[in-house]
Amino acid sequence: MSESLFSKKNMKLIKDPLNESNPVSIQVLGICSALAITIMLENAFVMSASVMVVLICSNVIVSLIRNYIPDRIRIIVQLVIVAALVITVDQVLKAYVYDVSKQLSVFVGLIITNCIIMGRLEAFALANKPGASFMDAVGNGLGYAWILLAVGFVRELFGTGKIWGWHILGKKGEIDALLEISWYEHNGLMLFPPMALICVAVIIWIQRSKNKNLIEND
Amino acid sequence: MAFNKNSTGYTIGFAVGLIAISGALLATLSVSLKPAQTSNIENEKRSFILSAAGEFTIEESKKKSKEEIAKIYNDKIKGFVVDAEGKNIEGLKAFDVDVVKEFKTTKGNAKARKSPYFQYTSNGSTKYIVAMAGNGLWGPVWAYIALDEDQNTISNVVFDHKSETPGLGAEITAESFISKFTDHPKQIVDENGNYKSVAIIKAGDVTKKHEIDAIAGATITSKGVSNMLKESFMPYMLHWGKVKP
Repeated sequence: MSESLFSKKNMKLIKDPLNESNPVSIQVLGICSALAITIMLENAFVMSASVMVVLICSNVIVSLIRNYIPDRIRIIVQLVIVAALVITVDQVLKAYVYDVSKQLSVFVGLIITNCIIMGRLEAFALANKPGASFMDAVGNGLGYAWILLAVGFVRELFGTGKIWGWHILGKKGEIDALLEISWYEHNGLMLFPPMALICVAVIIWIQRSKNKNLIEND
Repeated sequence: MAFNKNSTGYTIGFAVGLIAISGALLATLSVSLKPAQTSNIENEKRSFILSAAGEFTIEESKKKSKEEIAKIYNDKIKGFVVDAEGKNIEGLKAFDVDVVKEFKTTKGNAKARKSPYFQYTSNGSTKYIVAMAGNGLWGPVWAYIALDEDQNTISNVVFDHKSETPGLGAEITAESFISKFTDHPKQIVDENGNYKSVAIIKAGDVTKKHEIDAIAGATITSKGVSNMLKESFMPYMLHWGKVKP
């Protein structure tokens, strides 16, 4: 490879998905998982990590064999690669971190339906070298992760008064928490899926009001 | 390119090759990880049974090695299997009876269901841990429920589930739900020998012997657990002669 992995062009591949071309908030991909596993921060973290592993591996593999994949079956080829990686992650979690795998349960299997992965394979890895594809996967993985963690943080904190399972907010006299407020009540609505959409929408709102370039003109 | 990557022959060849390679890799992975996965599942089952019996909490069990847990289990637990009418089934290891599988395969035919229970003896006191399974919202739920020496009063419960919603249905495994079974004595059979079990109902009265307050926002999981409790104690109660057939 003539170009360095950390060249300016490649670094842009990492930075852009964090903000200006964020897979969740700008391209609105992978919303289903943002909804399903953001009730607790810990689950959001493991899910982000798993998606990132699958995304990086599949992006690099597809990029390596991009010149040999027949055009007519390229989607199904991508699907087979992603599916094999997802099963690998699931099996490894079950064998070595059994507790975590129990918590994530079906959602690990659902990584395969995460549009971000197929989207990056189709849009990037099929046309670029492995090094650039790797950086692209890291960027998009991080872009996905920070949205998930932000939503998970808000939902767990206000929904159950906890962060990463630690009691932070609590009603005075009811439970041992870091911050005890006499009028505090958990907001049960936070635990319902619609709240995840509202949280993502608020992020989108903040992002677009800060960066006018992102607003579409009709 | 020297070859035509879009020819039909190449396309078929590529597909076959890809499937063969990924299939072989996954099969190897699955076979090589199987022992670790099975031992995790067995270890969890032993921990659940022992923590229902009060040997240790689930948190404490995570600090113990698998060998340690297996040793305590072999020393203190004796397993039995009974059929739907409460008769002993010989020649079957209680530990090998998967209650979730039993529940699924005998749906609509509860007469064929095998129910395992475990007798725990430590320092002269005895507890009976019964195992059961039912339906949650997204998948199966199951439980190990320890009864006191009278084979009627609930002494402790351990619930687990496959895929209930975290924060809602999954709260059946939380201390806040479990304590509802243990804060006030709960019984399966009432004073007159009637089979009552324990019902989980909305705004249930926790001080009553056969009632438990449901989890808010987890109606279907609560109902599933309630149905499981209602049905599953019967074979054991028949076996111990607590209720008349």
